Amino acid sequence: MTPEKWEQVGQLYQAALELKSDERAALLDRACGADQALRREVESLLAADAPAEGFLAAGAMQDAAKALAEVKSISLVGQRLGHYQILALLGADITSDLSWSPDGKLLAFSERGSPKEPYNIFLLSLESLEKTRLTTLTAGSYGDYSPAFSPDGKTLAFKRAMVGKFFVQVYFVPITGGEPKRLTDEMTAGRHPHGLAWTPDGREIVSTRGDAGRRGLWKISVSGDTPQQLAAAGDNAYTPAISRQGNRLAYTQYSRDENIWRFEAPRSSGRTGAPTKLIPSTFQDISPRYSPDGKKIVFKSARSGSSEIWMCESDGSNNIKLTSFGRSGSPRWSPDGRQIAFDSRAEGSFDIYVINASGGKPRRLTGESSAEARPSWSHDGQWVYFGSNRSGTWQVWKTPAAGGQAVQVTQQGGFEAFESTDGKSLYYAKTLDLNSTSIWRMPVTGGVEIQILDQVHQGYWAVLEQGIYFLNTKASPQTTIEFFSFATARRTQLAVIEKEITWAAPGFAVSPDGRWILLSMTDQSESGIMLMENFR
Amino acid sequence: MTTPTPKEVTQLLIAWSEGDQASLEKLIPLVYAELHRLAKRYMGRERAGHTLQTTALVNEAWLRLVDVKQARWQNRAHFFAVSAQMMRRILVDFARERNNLKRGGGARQVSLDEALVVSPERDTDVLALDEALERLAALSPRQSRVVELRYFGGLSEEEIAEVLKVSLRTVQSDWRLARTWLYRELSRGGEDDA
Repeated sequence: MTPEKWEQVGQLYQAALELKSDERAALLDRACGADQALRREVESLLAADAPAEGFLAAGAMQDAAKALAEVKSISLVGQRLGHYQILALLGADITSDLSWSPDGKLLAFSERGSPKEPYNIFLLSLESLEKTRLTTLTAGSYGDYSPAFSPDGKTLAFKRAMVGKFFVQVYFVPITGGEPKRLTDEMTAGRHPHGLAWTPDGREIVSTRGDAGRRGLWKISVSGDTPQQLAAAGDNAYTPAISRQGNRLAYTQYSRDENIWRFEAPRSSGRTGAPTKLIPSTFQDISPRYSPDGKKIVFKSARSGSSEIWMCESDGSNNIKLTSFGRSGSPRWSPDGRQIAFDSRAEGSFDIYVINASGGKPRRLTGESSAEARPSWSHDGQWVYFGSNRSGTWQVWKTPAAGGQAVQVTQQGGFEAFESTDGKSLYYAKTLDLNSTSIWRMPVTGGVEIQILDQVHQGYWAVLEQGIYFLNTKASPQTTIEFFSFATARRTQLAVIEKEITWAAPGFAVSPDGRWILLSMTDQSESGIMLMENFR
Repeated sequence: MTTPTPKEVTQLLIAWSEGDQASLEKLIPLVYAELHRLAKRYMGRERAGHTLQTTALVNEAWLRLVDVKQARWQNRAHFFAVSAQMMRRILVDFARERNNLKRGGGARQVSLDEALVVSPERDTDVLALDEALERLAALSPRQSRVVELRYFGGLSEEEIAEVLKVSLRTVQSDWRLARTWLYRELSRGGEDDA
C-alpha cells in the first residue's frame, strides 16, 4: 500500500463512520467502483472499529507493568536462572531453616507475609511447585518455625513461640494437616531457629533448650516422657543434626565470654585510662551496680550454670552468689544498701523480687502474668520503680517496697527509670530499642515529660548528681561513653570503646563518686562443629 | 555528566520549542536518564496494586527536571512529546531484553535483577506494536506519531494537537483510524504476514 492509497482508505473510513451501517454499502459502491482491494480494506477496518475501542486505552506503562506483574507472580516460578531454579515466591520473610521430606518431594519452611504477622509452617511440593499451609497461627503469636520431617515422612515437628513470652514449645503435626499436638511444656530456648533433629527411629527429637549463656541439647520423647539433657554436649550447644545411619550427632558449639570491665573516669578534662578486667569468669558476667557506699558491686553471672545475682567487693574480689533462683538479672541496691531488687523469670513471666544484701530467700514484689522488669528504688526507699507491659504498652510503674498496689507513672511510654539523687525528678528510657533509646525526665510528683537525650544504648546509662553517663553505640565510627552535664546541657565524650560490647542489657554502672565506670564487654567468642559418635 | 539545573533544562526546552534542534540533542540524554530511572521505579510499584499512568511518570520527570514557573504549557507539551519517543524506546528495550532471555534459555547467565523485568507473555505485544507503528509511519507519519504521543507519552488530545500543529479533530480521527488499523494488524498474528 502506498501513502496515497492509505490516504484514500482513511478518508473513506472516516466518511463511512459518519453513516449508519446500512448506508455504508452505497458509499463504498460509489467511491470504490471496480477497486475491490480498496473496498475490502475499508470494510475490514470498519469491522474492526468496534472491537478496537478499548485497545491501547490503558497506556504503555500500565501494559508493560502488567506484563511484569504476571512474570513476578507466575512465570518466574519454575524458571532456571543459571544454576538456580526458582521454586516459589514467598512473603515478607522466611526463617533460615528448611527441611526435606525423606523422599525428596517436599520442602518444609516457615514464612510470614509481613513483620506484623506470625510465622507459619508451609510445605512446598517440588513436583507441582504448590505451596500448602500447615499451621494457622494468628496475631498475638510470634510464630511456628524450625520445621523437621520425621524419618517416616509422615509428621513434622516444629517450635512455637508466643509474643511476650520467653518460652518455646515443641509441637508436631501430620503433613496431611490437622491440629498440631504439643509435645513439651514451656521451655526456654530462644526464638532463634536453632533447629530440631529426629532420631532415626522416629521416637525422639533433639532440641536446643536452656537459659542465656547456658544452652544445651535435650532429648524429647515423642511419647511424652520428661525431656533429658545430653550432658555430654555440654553448654552452648546448638543446631543438632543426626545422621540417618551410624548414630552420629553433629551440632554447633558457640560460646561468648562476657566480662565486666572497669574504666577510670577522667578527673576534669582528658580521656579515661585503659580499662581493666574487674569481674571475669568464663561465662556471662553483666549488669553490674555499685552499692550506695561504693564498696560493693552486685552483678548477674551465669558461671554457676544458671543466671544468678552475685556480689563482690569494689575491687572485684570475694565473689558470693546471692540467689539460687535461675533466670535472674538487673540487681539494684536500696538507698540504705540493705536490700537488692532484681528481676527474674524463674517463675514464668518476668517479675520483680527483693532479696536482703546478706542473702536469704527472695521476696516477690509483683505477681502479674505480664512482664515486670528493671527495678530501681525511690531515694527514700519507699517505692520500687519498674517497667511493665501490663497495660498493653510498656510504661514505668512503681509499687510500695513493703508490698501493695502498683501505680502507673508514665502515660506515653517508658521502660527503665531512675530517680535523680535529690529525689525530685524521674529519668527514664522511653523505649526498649537496644541501641537507640531516648532518655526523658518528668517530676516525681507527676507532670510534663521532656526529652533529655537520644542515641542512648538501652540499659547502659546511669544518673548521678551532675549528669548522666551513657553508652552511645550509634556514634560514628566507634562506640563511645559519654557524659551529659545537667549544668551545661552538653554531651562530652569520655571514652572510645575498642572491644565489642555485650549485646545484652543492662551492662553499665558508675560508682557513686563518679570515679569508676563499669561496662560489660565481650572478650572472646568461639564456635565450632562438634561430632558425637554412638549417640543414642 | 553534571546534573543540569531545572533552569538550564527549561532554557533548552524553550529553545527547542522555538525550533533549535541543537537544544534537543542536549535535552534527550537528560530526559532519557530520568525517564529510565522512573520507569524502573514505577515498575517496582506495580506489585502493590497501583495503577501506573504514563502521564504520571512523565509528569514526575517534568517536575523534577524543569523549572515549572519559567515554562509555558506549550513547553510542557513539547517535553511530553519528546518523552513519548523515549518511553517507547525504554519499554521496547525492556521487551527486547525479555525476548533475549526467552530465546537464550539456559545459554545466557541472567541475574535475578534482570529477570524481574522479563515477561514471556506480553513482550510480543510491545515489540509487535512497535513494528506495526513503523509500518504505519510509512503510510502516515502523523498517525504513527499520534499513537506514540498518546500511548507511550500519555499526552492528551489537546496537547497532541499543539505538538503536531493540527486541529483537535484531526488528532481524533487519526487516533481512531490508527487504533483500528493497529488492532487489526496485531490480532491477525502471523497468518497474514505473507
